[in-house]
Amino acid sequence: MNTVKKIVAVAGAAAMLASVAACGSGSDTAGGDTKEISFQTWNLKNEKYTPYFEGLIKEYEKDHPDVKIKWMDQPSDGYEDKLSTQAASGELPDIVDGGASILYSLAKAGALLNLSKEVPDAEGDYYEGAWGGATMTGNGIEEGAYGFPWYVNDGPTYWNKSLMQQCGLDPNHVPTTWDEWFAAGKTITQNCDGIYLGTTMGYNAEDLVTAGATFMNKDHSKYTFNDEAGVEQLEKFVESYKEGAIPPEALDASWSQAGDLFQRGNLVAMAGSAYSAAGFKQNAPELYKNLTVGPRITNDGRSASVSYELLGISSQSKHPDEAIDFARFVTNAKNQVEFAKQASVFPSAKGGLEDAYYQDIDDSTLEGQALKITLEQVKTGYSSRPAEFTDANGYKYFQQQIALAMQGKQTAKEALDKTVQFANERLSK
Amino acid sequence: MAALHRKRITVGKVLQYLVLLLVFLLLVGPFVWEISLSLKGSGDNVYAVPPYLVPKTPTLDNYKRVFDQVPVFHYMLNSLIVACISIVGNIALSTMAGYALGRLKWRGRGFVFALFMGTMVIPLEGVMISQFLIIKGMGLQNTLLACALPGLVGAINILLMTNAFKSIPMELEEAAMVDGANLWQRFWRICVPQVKGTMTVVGIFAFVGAWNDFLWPLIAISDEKNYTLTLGMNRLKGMFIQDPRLIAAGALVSLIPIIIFFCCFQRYFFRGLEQGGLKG
Amino acid sequence: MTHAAQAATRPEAVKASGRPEPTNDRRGGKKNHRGALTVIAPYLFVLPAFLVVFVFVVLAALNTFRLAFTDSTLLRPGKFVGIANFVELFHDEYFLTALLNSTLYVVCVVPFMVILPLILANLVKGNGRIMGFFRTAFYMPVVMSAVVVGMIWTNLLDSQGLINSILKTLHIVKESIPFLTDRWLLLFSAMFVTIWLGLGYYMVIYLTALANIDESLYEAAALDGAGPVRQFVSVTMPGVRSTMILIMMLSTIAAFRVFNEVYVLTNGTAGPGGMDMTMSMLIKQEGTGIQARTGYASAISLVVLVIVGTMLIIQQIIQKKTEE
Repeated sequence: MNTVKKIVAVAGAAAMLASVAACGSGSDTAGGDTKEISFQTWNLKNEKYTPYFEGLIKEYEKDHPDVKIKWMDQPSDGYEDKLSTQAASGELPDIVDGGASILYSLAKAGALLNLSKEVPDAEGDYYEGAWGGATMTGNGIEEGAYGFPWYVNDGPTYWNKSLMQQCGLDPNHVPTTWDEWFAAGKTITQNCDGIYLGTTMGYNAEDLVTAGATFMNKDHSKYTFNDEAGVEQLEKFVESYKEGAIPPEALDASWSQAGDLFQRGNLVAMAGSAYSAAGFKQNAPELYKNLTVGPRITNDGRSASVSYELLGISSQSKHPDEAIDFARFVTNAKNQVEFAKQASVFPSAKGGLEDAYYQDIDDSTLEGQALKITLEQVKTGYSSRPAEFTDANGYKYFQQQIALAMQGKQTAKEALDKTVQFANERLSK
Repeated sequence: MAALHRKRITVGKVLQYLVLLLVFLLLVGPFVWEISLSLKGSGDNVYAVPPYLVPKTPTLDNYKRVFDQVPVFHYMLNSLIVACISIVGNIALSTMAGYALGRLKWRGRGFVFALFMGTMVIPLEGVMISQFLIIKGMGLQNTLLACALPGLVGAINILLMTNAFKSIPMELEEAAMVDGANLWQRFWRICVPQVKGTMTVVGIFAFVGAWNDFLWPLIAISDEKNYTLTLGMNRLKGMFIQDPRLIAAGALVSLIPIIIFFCCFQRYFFRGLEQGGLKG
Repeated sequence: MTHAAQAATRPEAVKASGRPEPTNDRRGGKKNHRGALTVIAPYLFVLPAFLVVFVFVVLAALNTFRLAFTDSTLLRPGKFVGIANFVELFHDEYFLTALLNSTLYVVCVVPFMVILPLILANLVKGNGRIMGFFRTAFYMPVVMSAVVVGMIWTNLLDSQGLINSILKTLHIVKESIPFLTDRWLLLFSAMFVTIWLGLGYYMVIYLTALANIDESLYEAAALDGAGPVRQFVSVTMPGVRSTMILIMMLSTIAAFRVFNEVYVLTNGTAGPGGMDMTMSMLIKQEGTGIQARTGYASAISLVVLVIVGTMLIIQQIIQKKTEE
């Protein structure tokens, strides 16, 4: 009896190992004269976007029979861990999708091509702000763009109308400047209990920059957000926190947490994305009916929260020309507009925003209104968070120091001074 | 006297069940919430205050979407293969090592034991990239075997087995030795049957560990056809919009095999001595 | 096997459990060639496991050891810097915070992890269907993903959460208790979640140990008039002594290296101002990502190794002392 069990167990294990080994060796890439380009996106393979990418690849391969595109898509979580391993083991895909700070980290290690140098004519294909968002400089990095601008994201401020009414605000008149914003916070705390204005509190570069602070000097050698305007703005947030207009959970809340609070009806306002409207409709249908949108809060009317998704090209690529060509194909105006329409994001290629789709947005729905406001922001706005202000090199520390200021453990000025010193040290390394 | 005795037992039993029910609520309540969430339809406000348990528009649609969006059975098979390698490896390797560490005397035993202990202390985050380079050096990247290999010997499992072997009474082995049984016979026929319960626990730990692991498979696997279920289910989190109902349904689907596995094997925790005994 | 035979061997079994004398069967009339085999047999038994651990953990860890004395980053091999990383560590406010938090975690969590699962295991032992159901149910939290656990507990604990709502409705408190935003309360909340998660896990380990205690000992104790509590103290506790020590070690290691619970309750921020940083979170923060400071993170790992190693040795010494 025991022997039989043993044989079965051993045979089973052996068969499994054999099948696994066979499986592994079978997946080698096809040789020949076709050039294989690996194209890695981040969490875009699903029922909604897969047809788009498959169509895109098919179209390109038809025109370029000698090129084969291998589309890889990484799951939502752990993207930076995956990228680190790929970079450390020399297996970075030819084309990598990432935000500015991810590409900055790769570029600084020499893992990406300087596209301004490789294809100087590409600059003219994209909006100036977008190309600027991909351009990196200073501190051991050769100045240039290290990624082709891809989709652009920004969003309006969502307002809960019934909470506004209940707490003494006029839903037809949403705040748009910081003075109005802080005044709204005061009104809410006077009239309502357990209701907060929002989770915005200086955790993002744009919260300071839109009030007049300068985040970094021109040649990107020093951070400067501890200037007078920056400190004054943070002091106002601290004041607002003390009054009770900001929920304590915001101190360690990530963006998704803010969404939870808003959808549960604890927040009057939330800075979201254009596509958030569809999410509210799906997850909190009653709240959705009570929402209105306004622009992001700024003093100068220019959004500073525009973010650019980029496509970098690996410096180890065996076929850099083909990789560049395909990345430019993905990011051309026509293909970007098509993707942007589906995802409620925006194109960065020149001419994309003039597409008929954007001329005639149906603003009878919340989604349409959100899209319309964001469109204006994207046209005039910019990204205020420098690529080098990565999580490791200051962003995380920034949030931690601000939290301590909120809790009254240090002054706003101390928090910003400490962060600037920390980030400057990291910058020079 | 007899009546009194019975009554005391009854009070004790009532108390026992009360405590069990309380712990049950505490430990399983959140799980029930997940089930409720996964059954809520588009008419339900997922963020309602106060939250409610019974869906207003109950639907199995979320489960259907999980199966539509993720090739569940394909990935489940991959996960099963990884889990099986891990179970077989962990049970076999830690039983053997545990026997040597717990019952035999040899030079270097203390050192090897300390080494196994030490591996528990090393933070995995720090060595993961090195591990990948080793796997790559072996040419095993992007295989299911690579998913299972680093977890093939859990230090905890070796400790459990060592401990289990240590607590087998000496008399059993000595009796067999008098009968002329050699080392392997004593191991296989006397000692192993005594520790079957612990072997089951090791198997369950290995299964759960391999099944739920996310980060290592993410790093080891690059080809979607070799994805494990946790990797596949992560896709349900949208890049732009998330639906908590869908994520809950996905989480529950991937829990089902673990629950079945556990239900089948938990009773063996108690089989240890009764089953094996001295029959060898 | 008859019940009588079982009972006959058991009392010794309980006595012997814990520290049986290891045997080596070179005594007794064995043939010579078998003697040689017996000498290498232990090595053969341990070799497969050793190989796997050596290749995947020791080799990787040796690399960690080397890196700890360099200023390497992930994508740039650094140069030897001596003990500079360790000097920096002791000036790093987050390191000192993490050291304090992780140590506190061990002190507060380990006693609960050793006792509570044992009580729970005692309540669900037995072969009936109902107990089987409870055993499976109690194991559920262990198999839940960290993300789900985090979502559930943040919803229960935050200032608008279920627990605060109940306390407020019952007029027990006026203001919400800041479970997730006060430095210490947050740490205690995380400890609570750790215990919640660990109950089922360690219960399973205790269950196998309980199966090895002979029923007749309980019967004998009952005849002496011992109630359930006395039986627990005088029969159960000695019977699972070696398992308790094992779980003490396991939970010490786990507690000092706590990561998930704090991570999910704080959305990865280590609490307001990073005041709830733990050692593993610091290693993760410094040692992962594209800009990872692998040298510095390796130095922290080394410190963790030394501290946990010391804790285990101290536990061993205390254990030996109390046995004498």
